[in-house]
Amino acid sequence: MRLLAAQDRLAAFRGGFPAVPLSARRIAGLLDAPGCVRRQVVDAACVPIDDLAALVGCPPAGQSPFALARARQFERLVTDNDMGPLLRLVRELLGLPVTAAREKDLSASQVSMQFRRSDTAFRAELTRRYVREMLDGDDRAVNLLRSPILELAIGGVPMPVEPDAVAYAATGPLHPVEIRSFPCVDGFAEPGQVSAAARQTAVQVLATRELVVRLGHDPQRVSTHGLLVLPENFSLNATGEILDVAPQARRLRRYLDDFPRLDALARHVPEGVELPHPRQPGTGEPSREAAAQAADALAVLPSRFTDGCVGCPLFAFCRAEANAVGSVARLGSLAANVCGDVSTVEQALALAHGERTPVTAAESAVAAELGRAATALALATR
Amino acid sequence: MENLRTYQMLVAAARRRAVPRTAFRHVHLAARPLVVAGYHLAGEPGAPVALCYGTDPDRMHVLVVGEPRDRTLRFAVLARFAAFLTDYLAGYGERERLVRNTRGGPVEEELCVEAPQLIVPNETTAHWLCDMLGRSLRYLRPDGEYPVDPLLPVAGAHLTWFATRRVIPGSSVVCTGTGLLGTHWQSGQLPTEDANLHALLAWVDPPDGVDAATAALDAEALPPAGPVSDPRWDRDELKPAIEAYGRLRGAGADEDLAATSLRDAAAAALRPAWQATWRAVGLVRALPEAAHVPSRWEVDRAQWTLHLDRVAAGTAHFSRRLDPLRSFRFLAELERRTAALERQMVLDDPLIMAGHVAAGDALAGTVAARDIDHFVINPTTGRRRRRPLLHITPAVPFYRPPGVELWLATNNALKAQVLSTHPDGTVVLRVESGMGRNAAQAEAAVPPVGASVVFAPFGPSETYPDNLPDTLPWTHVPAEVER
Amino acid sequence: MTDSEISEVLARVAALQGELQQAYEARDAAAAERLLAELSVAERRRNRLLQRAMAGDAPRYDVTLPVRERVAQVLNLLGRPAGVSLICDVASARFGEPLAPTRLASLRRDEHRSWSTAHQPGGPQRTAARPVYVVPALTYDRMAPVRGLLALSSWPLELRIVAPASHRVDMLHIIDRLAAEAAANPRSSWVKDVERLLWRLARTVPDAIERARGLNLPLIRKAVAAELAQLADADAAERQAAAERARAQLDDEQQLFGARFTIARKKAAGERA
Repeated sequence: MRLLAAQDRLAAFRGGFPAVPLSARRIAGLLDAPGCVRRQVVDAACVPIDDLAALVGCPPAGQSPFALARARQFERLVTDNDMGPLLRLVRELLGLPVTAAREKDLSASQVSMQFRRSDTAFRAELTRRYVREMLDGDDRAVNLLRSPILELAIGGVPMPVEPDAVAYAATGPLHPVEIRSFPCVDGFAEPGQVSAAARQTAVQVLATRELVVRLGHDPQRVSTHGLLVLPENFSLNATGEILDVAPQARRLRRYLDDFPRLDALARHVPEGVELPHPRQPGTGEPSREAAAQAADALAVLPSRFTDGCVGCPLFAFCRAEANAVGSVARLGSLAANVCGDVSTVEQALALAHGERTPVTAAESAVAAELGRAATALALATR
Repeated sequence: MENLRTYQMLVAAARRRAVPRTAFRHVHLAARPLVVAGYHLAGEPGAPVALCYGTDPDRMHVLVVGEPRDRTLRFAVLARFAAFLTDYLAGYGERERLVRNTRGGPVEEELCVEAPQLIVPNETTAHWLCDMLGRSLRYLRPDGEYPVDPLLPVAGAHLTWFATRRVIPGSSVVCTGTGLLGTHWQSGQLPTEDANLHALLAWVDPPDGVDAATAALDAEALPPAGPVSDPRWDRDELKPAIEAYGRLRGAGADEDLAATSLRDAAAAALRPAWQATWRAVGLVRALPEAAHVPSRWEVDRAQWTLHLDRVAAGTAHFSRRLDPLRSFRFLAELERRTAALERQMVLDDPLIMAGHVAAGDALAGTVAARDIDHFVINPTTGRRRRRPLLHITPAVPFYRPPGVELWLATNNALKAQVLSTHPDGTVVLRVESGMGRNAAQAEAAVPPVGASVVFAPFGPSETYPDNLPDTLPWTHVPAEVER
Repeated sequence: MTDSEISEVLARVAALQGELQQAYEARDAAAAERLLAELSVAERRRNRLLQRAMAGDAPRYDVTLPVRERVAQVLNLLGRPAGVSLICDVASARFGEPLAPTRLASLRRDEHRSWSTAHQPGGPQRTAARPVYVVPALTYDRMAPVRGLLALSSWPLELRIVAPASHRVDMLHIIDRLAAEAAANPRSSWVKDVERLLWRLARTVPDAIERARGLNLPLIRKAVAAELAQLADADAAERQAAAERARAQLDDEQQLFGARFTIARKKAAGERA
């Protein structure tokens, strides 16, 4: 299947859902669900995954108004007053001789106010323009770019990527800057949250590098040495730490290189399988038929249920499937690794208890290994 | 170990109910633990919203901070919690004299009769309450520019002590509901799902006539056990309650009245977590105590005694962060204690030993033949040593090679070596020590024909002298950060 | 959320309303303002609790299960090959959602196609294999797919093959499973529906139902066991013999989805030889 036909097939699959640019968070989330065709198709088709998940009955994630308010408050504090606090950190920690802030905000709202249009393609073009100026060492170039639209080649096709409000401090190399509001207490921030920030920054770095190459420059001009700006202890004073995202960037690069080409992916989507329109014309409420159609369309796409699935918006849906069929994968990666090709709980236990004669090599292995466990346990509980 | 764990997960999924991982309770449970559950403002661990706490499952105390972002109000409310906490801890000052046998002879020590115990719903609450709140309180000053209630830094010091103890393997001064259940039962869900106390409790103790998977799904609809609240609850109940507090205060109402809505909402949201934690305690308390639990609790008591001494002397000092040498020592210490704990749990509990049998490290079987009068001649000295032989028919195939050392699980002094394995699977062991000095003693010590035995790679505990280096080995020197 | 919580909040709202009236009559503006604030919070809570209570026992977020998983879920419960209409009846009775047989029309073809995509030789698609597929039951003589009779790929071949007596044997096993399930969950919301279904199915089993006395689950299981004792062994032997033949002659795909081309292949093999 040719690439163009593949894109058509994926667009058709998207059905009544609008196409949305992928967020850095979503792309970083692909690392949590390696080899999951379902996620890959839904992402390659640019389906708004939160809306899709809500349609099939997954609990919405949601963010607390307080967390949002604090995040906004901290970001404002860091970037107000000509970005004094931010520039100080950029000078101290990144060692860049930045004295003045020239900021450009390319978020949809700002762009539409200035230019009367805010479509993704336009913002991408603006992004290109400003990054070109930064690379050319133009004195008037901005040194801080917020909410750009970048592109990342996924499955052989460039996809629009919209990182969260993010910035580049630039004279020479471009350094990514992330502002988050989880606290850094005594110089120590929650490792899980730091690594999540690092992964999203890595997405951004890779996407910017692709743009830089397209503009004819060396991709190494986008540095993997970033700055993570956090509140200090329990206050709202800004402190920062260097974020070296080189390992995450390498991992993500490997993953994207291994991402199936779009035509291979589209082969998993049979003709005529489409997502419905999320809203019923008239009432505006999602209908049962729409939910059923979405569920059946998703079901066609093979999924790969692992421990990492907990972070995916579709988790509850795939879990219900795994429960319904009684799969071993539902129990997590440990069990799935031990059982290998023996994919259902019933099968594995029957083999363990000698109630079923192993036919394949995988079944023999499972019968032997789990049989040991069953015997050992029976002995111990005698 | 994965074999048994996986098998237990499969059985739990098939039976639609959690299965026991242990035969005994491996945690000390105090007669009067202090259970604490709470919420903090989303994104702001330094801003508590509510605390529900108490030592009696039927009496839940509730404290709320009507405007969580108001620091003065926050410390005033936390002072009330600090008062309760210090009052609770004051009940653990009584000491007794003990004689301990050490290498240098009998030594008399003073030890607190009992140590306090803090029980929270889950790991993140433990981190928030002990580590974060402890840190935020212990440097406050009762004098100076922003004076606070003097009990606050005291409470902070105590909470920080809890924080340092809770990471030590084998310590029971801080327990979590999820940890209590997860240690003793295996659910049929993802390990990450076990971090949800309500879901895990549904697996261990589902309501009558309901299968665990369905109960766990229902349990997910319960308010979170904390310390982070449900974002929808924040939007629908917390925000209006805080606004109501503000309006009522503005209209002249006093603190407690103004905070009524918030108190009601928080109590309703945290009550399930409170009840679930007590239920977890009750379920684990019902298990018989493992043999090594009292000796581990004695270590907790000794540390508590030391902490009280330091607090009294004003020398309670906590470094903000471990320097590289100290963290290296700390890690090494943690590894040592983890291994020691594992050894104790294995020897105390046949279900845990079963994991090693399943993995092939331990040999479980019956004695097929025994030769007490087998001797080995030392080639240089020519002296005869009694080295009884045992032929074991394994219940589970055993493949470890000759030379591997094993100890009898029921009598840790008896050490044996794998001599060979016959084609039919029979394992030949040669007893190296612990057989006594003569035939009669050997007869008594070495298991007879027909006995069911377990031989495991866990010998008597060794004391590790602290010969850790004063300078860092090169593997632990931090790399220079490149600019 | 319990009845007492709802009574509490209703009582609180009523109490606040009473106090508000008093404050109004006393022209106490400050008190009135305070009470209005408290009342609005309490009313919001009351509304939410009542809404949840009316919504019934269903878990808060009911995920929509796709058709193939619903069929697999039923087959998992029954443990034996079953007909499409029975599957739909059990889906409705035990799991609450009606399932129209028309929705299963393309299931067999879709499952086969899905399997083929995942098992293409040389492809990296191996990770796209599902844990279990819904497959047709196969005839014991020609290993041909049986129309309208479905099974799970994780079952041993012996159970997916149907011999002359298998339909009856399998139905007896299914009745036993349903009876066991109902007996194990006496207080669940679906037990009445499953018992209604059992009444219909068990009528064909001698001594299973005593008209006058209503449904007795242990009695049903006993009657089923008695009839199985007569039929099961012979049926198992036939199925086993057929399975051995099939394993020797058919590849993986044919063992799952049936041997439509058996004759042609044999011929080809013969020609090669």
